[in-house]
Parts: sequence; C-alpha cells; structure tokens
Amino acid sequence: MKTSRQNTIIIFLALLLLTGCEKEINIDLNKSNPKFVIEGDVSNIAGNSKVRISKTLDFDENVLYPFVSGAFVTITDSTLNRIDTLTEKTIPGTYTNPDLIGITGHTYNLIVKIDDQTYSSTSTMPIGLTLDSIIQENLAGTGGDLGIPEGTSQPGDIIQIRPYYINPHTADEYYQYVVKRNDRLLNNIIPRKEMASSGSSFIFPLFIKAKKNDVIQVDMQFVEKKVYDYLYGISQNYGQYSATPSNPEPNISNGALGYFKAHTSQNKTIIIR
Amino acid sequence: MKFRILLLLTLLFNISYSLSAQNYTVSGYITDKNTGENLIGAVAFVKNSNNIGRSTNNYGFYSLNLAKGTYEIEYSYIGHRKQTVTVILNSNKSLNIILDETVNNLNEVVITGEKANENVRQSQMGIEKLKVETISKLPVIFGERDILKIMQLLPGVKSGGDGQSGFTVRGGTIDQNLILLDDAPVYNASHLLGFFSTFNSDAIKDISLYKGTAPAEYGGRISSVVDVKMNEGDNQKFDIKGGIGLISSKLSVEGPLQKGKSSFLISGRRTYADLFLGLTDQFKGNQLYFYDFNAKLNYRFSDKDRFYVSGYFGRDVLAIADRFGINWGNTTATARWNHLYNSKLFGNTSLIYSNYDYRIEITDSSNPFKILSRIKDWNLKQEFQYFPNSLNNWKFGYNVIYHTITPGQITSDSIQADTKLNKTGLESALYATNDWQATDNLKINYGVRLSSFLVMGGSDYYTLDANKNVIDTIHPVQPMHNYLMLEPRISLSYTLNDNSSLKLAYTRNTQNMHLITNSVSGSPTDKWIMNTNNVKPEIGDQVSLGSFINFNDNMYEFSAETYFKFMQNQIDYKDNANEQAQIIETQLLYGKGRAYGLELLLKKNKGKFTGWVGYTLSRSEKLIDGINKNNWYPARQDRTHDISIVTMYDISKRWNISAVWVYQTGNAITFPSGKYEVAGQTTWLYTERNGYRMPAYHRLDLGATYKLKESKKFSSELSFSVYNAYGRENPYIITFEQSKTDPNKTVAIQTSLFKWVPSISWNFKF
Repeated sequence: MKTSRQNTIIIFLALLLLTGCEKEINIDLNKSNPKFVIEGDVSNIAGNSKVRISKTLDFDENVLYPFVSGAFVTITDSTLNRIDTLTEKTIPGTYTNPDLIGITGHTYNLIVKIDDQTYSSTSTMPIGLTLDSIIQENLAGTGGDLGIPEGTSQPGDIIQIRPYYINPHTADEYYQYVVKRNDRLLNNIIPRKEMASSGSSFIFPLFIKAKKNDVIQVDMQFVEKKVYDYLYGISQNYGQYSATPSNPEPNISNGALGYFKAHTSQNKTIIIR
Repeated sequence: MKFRILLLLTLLFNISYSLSAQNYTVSGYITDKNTGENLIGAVAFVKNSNNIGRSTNNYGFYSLNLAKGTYEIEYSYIGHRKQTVTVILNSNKSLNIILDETVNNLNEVVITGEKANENVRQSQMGIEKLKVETISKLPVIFGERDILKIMQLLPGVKSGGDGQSGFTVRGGTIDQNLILLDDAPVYNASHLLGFFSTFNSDAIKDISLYKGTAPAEYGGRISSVVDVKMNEGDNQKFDIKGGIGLISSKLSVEGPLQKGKSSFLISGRRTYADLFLGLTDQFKGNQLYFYDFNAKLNYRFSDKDRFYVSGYFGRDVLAIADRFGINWGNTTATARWNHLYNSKLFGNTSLIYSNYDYRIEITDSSNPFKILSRIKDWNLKQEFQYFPNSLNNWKFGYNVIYHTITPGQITSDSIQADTKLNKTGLESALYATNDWQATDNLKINYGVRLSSFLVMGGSDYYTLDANKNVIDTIHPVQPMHNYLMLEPRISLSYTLNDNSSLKLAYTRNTQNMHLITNSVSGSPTDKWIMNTNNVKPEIGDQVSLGSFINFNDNMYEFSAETYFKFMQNQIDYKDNANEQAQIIETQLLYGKGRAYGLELLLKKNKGKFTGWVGYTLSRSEKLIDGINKNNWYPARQDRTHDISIVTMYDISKRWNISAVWVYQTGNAITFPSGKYEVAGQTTWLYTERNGYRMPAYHRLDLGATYKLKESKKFSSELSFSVYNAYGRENPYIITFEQSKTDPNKTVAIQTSLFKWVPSISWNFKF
C-alpha cells in the first residue's frame, strides 16, 4: 500500500513546488565491453516460443541494439526428453521453431552457442491460475477511485483494469503482464506476485493510459520466482527506483544478460467504455 | 591489546595527585549579570600558579582544589569583563561570580568562545564549539542565522547540499551523528527538507561538536556528537526578541518568575513561504511549512539544588491539495535536577523523552488511510562530576534508554493499529572519564564506556538464508539477545608553548540505532531500525592526530587534524534493493568501512575583517560481501575535496557584510555504463557500485546587516541575503531516460532546485 517510492516522489514534488529546473547534461560515462543479451521464451501458446539474441551498447550510442545472427539454439523438454532446434527465419537475431509448444509443469533447458561460447539455462513452466475476466473499474458510480463518467474516457486518461480469476490460489504465484493497446505492445514490464496468504480471487489492478473504444488485451504470464525476480529487477532498473541500481541477476550462465522463461499465458480482451 | 588495557587501568586508577595534605576547595557558579544565566565554559584561572585553571561545566559550575594559601583567581568569559578575586584559602569556600558584559565594541568581535587560546590548551581534539552570541556577524540565510548550518562550514563536517537535510562527519553516514538538545536525542534535525535546522538560534545557548572523539559520557553513535544547550531564560528582567521575514517569523519571550531565582523562556517560529505559492493556480491548496516551539523553565531551590524542565516541539507539514498529506517532527522533553553534594561533587539527574514520527494521510482514495512511523525513547541519565583536586576532573554515571520503534503502522476505518509490529530495545551504559592535567604541558582525557543493548521480545525476528530469504520467523516473549561492548577512549594534548600544542586521540564508539536510507542526506520518511539478531551494533575506532597553533596574539588560529577510522558492522543495501520490502533486513548486507582525511582550518578572530577558511581532504570506503564484486567501493557520502570560506567585514558601526563560499566534490554515485534491451524496453547496464561522481557543488551566499537602533532598551536590525548568488545550478538528482526529442538517443537529465533566493528580515530585541 505505502511505498517509499511514492514518498520520494511526493518529496520531490514538494521540492519542485519550491522551484526547480530540469536540463539535459553531459556526463562522461565509461565505455563497457559488449555483452550478449539472451531473451528466451517457452509458451504454452503455439508460435509464441522464441529466443532473441542481441548485444549491449554504450550509453551514448543510438538505440539500435545489434542483433546476433548465426547462433546455435536448442531447447530441450527434459520431462519428455525431446530436443527442438530453433533457427533464424524472417527476423534476424530471433530464433524460432513452430513445433515448440510448452506444457505446464514441464522443465525446459536452453542451450545457446555463439562462436565458441555456450550459454545455458533451465526454467519450469508453472501451472498458474485461470483468469475469469477483466473489468474496467474506474467508471463513475462503480466505486472506482478516479470516477471517469461512462463513455467519456479521453486520450491520456488513466484507466484502471482489474483481473479476476476463478479459484482462490493456494500457493505463491508470480506473473508478468504483457499489455497490448489496439494490438500495439505497450512497452511495460509489469511483474506482480500474489502470496498464498492473501487468498482472494481478485488482484491488484493495472493502470493503463487509454481512451474510449480502445481495445486492451491483457496477457497474464505465470512464471517461476527467479524469473519474476529478474523481471522485477528490470522494471526497477529502468525507472531507477532502487537505491542501489545494478543489473538484476540473470538465470543464464556464462555472463550473458537476459532471461529464460517458461510461462503459461492467459489472455483476455476488453473494449474501453 | 594487552598493553592498551594495562595502560588504561593505570590511568583509571591514577589518584596520586589527590594525596597532598592541606587542600581546600573554592567552588561556585559563574553567571551573567544581565540575564542571570549560568555561563558554560567560563574560565576560573589561578593567576599566581602554573597553569591551574578550570572551565565551568554545562551548568556553569566550577570547582578548584588548591593547597592552603592566598590566590588571585581570574574569572573570564567571552564577551564579558574579566574579574579578579583574591581568595584566602584556609577552608572550603563557595564563591559565586557574576560577570558583566563588555559593551559591544565592533573592533573586538571574537568568533570563538572560550579563552583566547582554549583551542590550544584543552585536552580534547576534534571538537568545535559555537556560541550563538558569537556568530552574530555571520550571514543570515532565509532570515535565520542557523547555528547547525554554520557548523557545517567547518572542516570535517559535510553538508548535504540543496534540499538535503542531513550532514556527515569524517566519512560517516548521517545517522552516525548523535544530536542532543538538552540531552534529548533529536532524530531528524532539519526542517523544510534541510533548509532550516530544528534549532531556533533565539532559544539556543551553545553547541559543541565532537568529531568522533567525544569523552565517555557520550555514546551511541560512531561518527560525532552535536550537543546543543538551550537558553535558560533571563532571571533578572523580561526580554522579547523576534524577527519578521519573507520566509518566516519568530518570537521569543523570556524573563524571571521570581527575580534572581527562577526564569522561563518560550520561543516559536513559523514559515509561510507556501502562502505565496498559493497565489498561483497551479499550486493552490498545497501546503509546505513548519513551525516549532522551545520552552524552558528553571528554578533554583537553593545554592545546592537547581531544577530545569525544557522541551521542544516541531512539525513540518506538506499537503498536496486534498489528496495527500504528510507531516513529521520531533518532540523532546527534559527534566533535570542538579545537586551539589559538596564542593567537590556535583550531581545531575535527567529524565528525558524523545520522539520522532511522520504521519501520512491519503485522503482522496475511496478507502482513506493513515500511516504512522515513529521512534520513541524514554531515557534516564545520572551523572556525577567529581573534582578531587585541581588537576583531575572526573565524570561518571549511567544512562538507560528504552527505545520503541513503530514501523509504518497503517490505520483506516476498517484497519485497526497492529502494535505487534513495534520493536523495542533497552540501551544502557556505564561510564567513567577523567580530564587530567598530568604535567604542566600534558593533559590527558581518558575514560571507558561499557554499553549494552538488549533486543527485547514481543515482536517478530527473522532467520535469513545466504540469499536473504526468510526461512524462519520467531516471536520471542523474552529478550532475545544482548550485545555488550567496551569502549575505551583517550585523548592527549601536549602543549609546546602558550600558543601551540600537539594532540593525539583514540576512541571507540558503538551504535545500536541505524537509519536505512537511499540517499546521502536522508529524507523524513527514512526508516530507523535497531539491532536485531541480524543487525549487529556498528563499531567505530578512530585514531586522530592534530596540531594547533595561534599567532599574532591569538588573532589567528590554525589547526591541522588527520584521522583514520575503521568501522565494523556497516550496513548497506544489497544490489537492486527494494526499499519497499516489508522485511527490510532481507535487503541489507553488512561489512567493513574505513575513512581517513586531513582537515585544515585557519581562523581570523579579531579586527574589522574576520572569518575562516576550511579545507578537508578525505575518503570513505566500504567493503561488503556481495557488493561491487567484493571489492572496496566509495561510500555514498565520499567526497574528495571540501572547501569553505567564511568572511565578515564591518564597514561601519551600522553596516556589516558577509560572504560564504563553499565548494564540494560531488558525492559517489552509481551511474550506468551502457544499456541493453529486455522485453522491448531499454535497460541500463551497470558495472560498479558508486563508481561515478555527481557534478561538483559550489555556491556563494551574500549577506548584509544594517543596525537600525542599538540601545539597552531596544535594538533592531535589518538583514538582507542572497542564497546562491551567482545562480549555480547545483544537481539535486540525475536520471537517465530516452530522449523526448530524439527517441534514438538516451540522455542524462539533471534536476536542480534553487538558482538564487533573496530574503529580507527584520530582527528586534527589547
């Protein structure tokens, strides 16, 4: 409920209230040795499993992250003992195999070979919860906090969407939201967790900028705790929320950045009123 | 180690000097003629002897033990006329002295207190004393001559910069400073995010700062002690003092309850800068202000018994138009009884209450709620001061503090306060210390403090694994752990001649209360925690060496001090720490720290042109498993250079002007060295902890004071000042983001606070 980030923001606001000015400055930041960034996904939805490989950049370089081609990528379902090789097709640096469809409860091993180096990881796909519905909450008269009258949502309004699921959960659950607005991915990593002790059938709402008639697609991806920890670290990192910013600990060996996540997807779509 | 203990024991049991046969004591209080207030640090000096002298203690009491004979004793105090009294000592004598103020002669402004060469002679090193009456020429910033701010212009003390409330001493963190107001700990000594201190100069008598070298009567923090004493109130006549300014106003009233016997003081302040903001539509309904009160009563039952009650109450209030409110502040109360058992034994019993809390209120949600965070102390202090002879001055006593911390207690219509979250601890200490004139040239202050901290039951404690995950929670009913620590301290001063001395000191301090903060200088909502099974007492060992020289008839003072400090059980956040974590211990790591530096100070005390130049060269580092690949890294508060120049000039009887310039290397900070993309989002690549520096901070403040009228009955002055006169945009925060103008670029954005702030105030006294 209470967050120190919120406090920091408030104090910051207070200081702005006293006066304040922002400007772009030049800081002499060091060069860093390029590192590989591996993002591996095994999904229970056909066509969604993929591995993307890119490289890091220096701070002042343009944001065109170099992709890495020519890697040898395999994902093994260790429960079935089945190996799938992923290959680069239309998108350079992105490796896929249409036959690879994840199964809940199975454990997957990733192996990536680039030049002479091997990077590996393991991830188990959780069972997750069954999403029942998602509801737009902040309409006037529905008890919402922001009270936007029905049918008047304007561009830039912040919409509150709350997911409900069918069975109260009995174990700790970790998940990540992937949110699309009118089929466009909103660039947000939204990692969340739900502790077994909280025991309700709805969860903390999402806040999304949207207007009337926007189509919002919410994908709830259940992941392992270590993947959640990594994604949480990434979300803190970009916002520079942590007191002690650093690279979150990847679940991939040999010094590569990124993650390997086996996840269960739950999709729901609503139209903003 | 063995040798050290042996040496200590020898010193502790040194009583050889008290054995001479026919000795008598002359003792008493030294007070100010006009106000009747006790004078702290006034000097009683035996003229026809070799270096026998003593300054009054914190209650204005002195005691000299001398062989039978006739003596001329000179009594002196800064800003007061000297008085010489001939004493025929053939029995114990009580001699109370009243000193009269010298008429304020502009050519004789003295910045330091004490005797002209007290800095050279005293056994303590790493100490700075400031008396409110001696800083009257310093620039007035935001309408206030803030004594805590002025202290931050001395070498070894580093201020946090714009919008930062805390200060650091000799490479320590802000929570390693013990700030006492009439013996009550003040947990957050700032107002308005650091622009004012909690100490209203009109209510303050003096302030002493010990840079980690405090004698054994002080304890509980490893970096420094700031000991602030409140005015007692005039017991001769009524005085009203006050000031009206653009930003704040204040008023103090003091006077006798029974003339010569008892007095009171009451003082209050309020800022109202936000009223101007309210005039603009954008900020309508927002509030940002503080107020505070100081009060003191003192009563002399007899020459042997005195009773004091003093208190402080202050609040800062910040509200964002009907949505959100936060207020925070300190409350302290001290009740004290001084008793003179005999001419050699002085006793002092204090019962102290101290409270710091912040309250957050969320009002615009459908379910409004409040959060309360608090640290509360009940504190009993008993001290005896024993003057066996004129060469020794013993202090011994004990101190027991009961701490209660309430961490973020949430209440609303539907949620009841959960007191199970409270944590309690019992901190106690036993100490003895002596200030000993070993030879004519050698003064030694030595002592030892035995301290303990009892981690009380009644709340949850956690067992953590190597990755800081909670593997077990226990809820003990009985106290679950006791930490016992022995803190030896010694400080030697060797006088080379009347004007120069060498000093050497070793001190050990320990600390049981810790502030968990994400910045150098803290914010009102930082968390105080106490020792637990996981958090161990911090230990600081400091060795310092200094040289003190006065020249040109004490017109100039020069000092050079160096120190090396080794610290254990230092706390830092782990990488990527989550400050919002419910169990903060899961985010913390512990290790060592070291700090070292050189402090130079040149002061000019007399003449039309006065002031000082201070320079500090220093380093502060940490070594903690799990941070920075287990290598030493700079602490957040690490800064290489600190320069301060303070100048005051009397143009005429009416006008004086002043200027203060400070320069500081930027603090150590973690910045990204690169970037990468995860899930379609740019992410920063970090390489090391605190490997970068904030840009340097520098600022010039100018002040001018014009005396409108000055007489015994009524005096008033107008003060003008400009803060940050050349408009330096000093960085407050630097953040990194995708450029708004060119999405292909990433940029660093600096936020600064004040370009320049002028202020005018009118101060009066009648």
